Amino acid sequence: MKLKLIAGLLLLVWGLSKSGWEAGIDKERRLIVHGQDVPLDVNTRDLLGQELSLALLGGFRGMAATSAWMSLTGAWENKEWTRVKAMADLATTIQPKMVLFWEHGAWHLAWNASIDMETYSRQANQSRAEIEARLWIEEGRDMLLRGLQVHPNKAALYLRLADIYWQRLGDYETAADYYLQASQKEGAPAYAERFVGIALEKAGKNQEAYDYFCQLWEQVKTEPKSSQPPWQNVKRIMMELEEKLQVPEGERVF
Amino acid sequence: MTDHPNSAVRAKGLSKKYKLEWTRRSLIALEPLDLNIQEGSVFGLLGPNGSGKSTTMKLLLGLIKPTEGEAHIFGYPAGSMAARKTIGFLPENPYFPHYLTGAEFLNYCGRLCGLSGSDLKKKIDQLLERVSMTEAGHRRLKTYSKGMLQRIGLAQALIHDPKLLILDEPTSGVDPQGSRFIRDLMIDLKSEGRTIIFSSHLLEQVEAVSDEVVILDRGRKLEEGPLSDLLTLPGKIEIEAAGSEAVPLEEIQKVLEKEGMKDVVVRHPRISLEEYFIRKVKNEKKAKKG
Amino acid sequence: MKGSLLRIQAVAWSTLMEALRQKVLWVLALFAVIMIASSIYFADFTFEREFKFIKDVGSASISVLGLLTAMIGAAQLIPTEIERRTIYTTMSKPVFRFEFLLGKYFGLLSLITLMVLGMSVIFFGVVLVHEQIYVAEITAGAAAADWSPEQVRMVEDILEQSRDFGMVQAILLLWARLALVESIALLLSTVATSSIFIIFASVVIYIIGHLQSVAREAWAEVMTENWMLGAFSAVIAWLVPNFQSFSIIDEILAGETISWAYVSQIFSYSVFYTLIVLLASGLIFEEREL
Repeated sequence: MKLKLIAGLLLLVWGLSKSGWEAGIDKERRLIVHGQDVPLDVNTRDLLGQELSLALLGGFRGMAATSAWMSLTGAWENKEWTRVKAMADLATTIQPKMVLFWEHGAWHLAWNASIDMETYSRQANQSRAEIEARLWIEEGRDMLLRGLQVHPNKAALYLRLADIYWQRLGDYETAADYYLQASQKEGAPAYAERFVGIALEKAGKNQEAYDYFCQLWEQVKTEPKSSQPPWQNVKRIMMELEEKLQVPEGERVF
Repeated sequence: MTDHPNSAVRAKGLSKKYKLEWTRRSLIALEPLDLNIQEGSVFGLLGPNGSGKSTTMKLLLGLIKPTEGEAHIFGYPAGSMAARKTIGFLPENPYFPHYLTGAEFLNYCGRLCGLSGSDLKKKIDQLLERVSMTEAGHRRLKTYSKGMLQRIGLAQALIHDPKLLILDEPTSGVDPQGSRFIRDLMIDLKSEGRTIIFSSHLLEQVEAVSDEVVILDRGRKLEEGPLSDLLTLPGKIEIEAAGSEAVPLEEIQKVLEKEGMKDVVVRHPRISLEEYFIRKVKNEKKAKKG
Repeated sequence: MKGSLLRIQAVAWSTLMEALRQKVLWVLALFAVIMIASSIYFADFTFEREFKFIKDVGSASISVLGLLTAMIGAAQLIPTEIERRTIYTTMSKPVFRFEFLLGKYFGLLSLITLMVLGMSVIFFGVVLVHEQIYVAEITAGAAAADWSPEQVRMVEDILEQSRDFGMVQAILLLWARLALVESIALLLSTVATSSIFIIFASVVIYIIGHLQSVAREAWAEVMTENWMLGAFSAVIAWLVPNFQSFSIIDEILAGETISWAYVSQIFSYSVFYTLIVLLASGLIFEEREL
């Protein structure tokens, strides 16, 4: 009986003393899993709800997220857009660190779902179709905005957001802003920085576009890539802008 | 060490009670038992099932702890490492790891006893030989018959050369030949100076090998003592003679009664059925070989 | 000390032998079938999604098969020995009980380790095969020297996921989790006798263990509203390990770079916890009636 008591006591003492170690491990885990530390003084019920759903997956979180994503793929093929959104939300909740879920999920909503609304509903009621299409676009945009809270440094998410503003909402100025942010992040593709100027020009902000291009050209003009087609295109737009803005001959780059 | 240099096992007031779950009652497995077993003797534990034989053995091995009382093996407290080093144990209906071969099992037991290397290997070969299992040694235990299991069980009990052997029903379920083999082995082991404690319900066998017995029933000791004391009928004599054809049996009876002897019975002596069986099988084998 | 290690090794060896001779490692073949079949079935994804899928299926299968082995195996370690009475043979030898317990634990752990290693080899094999298929698709079988810069970049992207060194971290943590689960099931088996109960209780503890962090942070606050729920949470926080720590495995497999410092922190937490549980099991087992 004595040894059993000692064993119980050992487990209890260890149990009472381990919480500091566990809290430290948890703090870093939340930072990695959720992209942010859930503060300890947060409302208990919110914390319970968030952790509870993850905990019940019992260590099979990755598999669960992947299953949700496979279900999304099925829903997409059947054009069940509400299920696509539900599954994208589920996958991003279970595994928020998977950039692909945010990026592809938003693409499904802002492009596939909304374009389907436009084409499917067009015959019935034009204005209604446009409203529904726009709702889906906004769902896609909101998904990316939520994703950016977890991944403030992922160029891919800024790019996709800029694409939505450019291609789906026709808001070139905001698109330019997101292209700029994308271009400043690690791993951004080369075109992002050029698209900032192009979007500004499309938005009618000719002066801003020209100033931006001048500064960009200054950086690349001595490099060999400045003679390649994309940069030749920039050069062409800059020359057009110089015309439009009637830049004095002496101040022109070209 | 103890002040009884010649005693192999000494128990004082050794008892075991089990508390029954969910009730306040308890089951008495063994009432306070005193034992003093001399080194080099063969000690038989007799009694029906549930009489406390196995409980006594488990207490001596330290597999269970006594409710009260204590036991010493060669002066060491029962259950201590030092005590267990001196004991070889053969459990009742031994269930050995059936996925091992006989030799692997002995190797396992040897390593548990701290043996290793070529010493252990030599010992295993020697023991397999001793229990005539050399050929079966490389077969898995699950292919063994009851008698083979009992023999490999004896081998494992002997692996560390113990001074004391505790054998729980060493011949139960074994055919007469196997039974005789084990009995002969026990006599051999005794002649090597080992102490043997064994239980059996085959009384004839107990009689053949034991120096001393204790009879238990429902956890209580009924009788204890040297076999010769317990089994001798006081006031009676037995005469054995060869050549009975020469004198008619009735004549002998009359002569003895004339001398004042009562309850005289004269008859041809009989051998036991076991003895008869063994002789018969031996003859059969000889005939086949011839 | 050395003798102790040898005895633990002997028990571990016999435990591992039993499992291997019962052909437990056939589970590897099952794993290979799961991996290969599922990776063929979902081969039409983009490589990013396909690698994520293969890695998730792989780690989930290793976890499920490993957890089943750890829980079912550990739940039977002691009860089966008692039921078959093989424990009497072992424990009558000069072996300390904690040596027997540790031997059993490490025997099963060796089996689990062999399984995890085997499954990892199959897992990496499947990943590498898919990597080669993708690389061949992209480069149309051209020699590496002839790849265009675009092809080089795409191949680099693929290799970044298929040769992710983080997978080693993931497998290490998967293994540590299994070692911890096994020790908990073993602890339960020193107090309970029914294998089914032990397995059931292990599963419950495993699931509750994922809620431990919530319970630990919330019990004090919950106590003010509902003392029973609060007390229950506190008991969970104190007695159950934080299994949610291991959920970092999923992030590692998703390509997140996790520092070795953090991985070794979780690893040492798990190992330390396992040692405490083993120590407690040993203390309880010391008094167990056999």
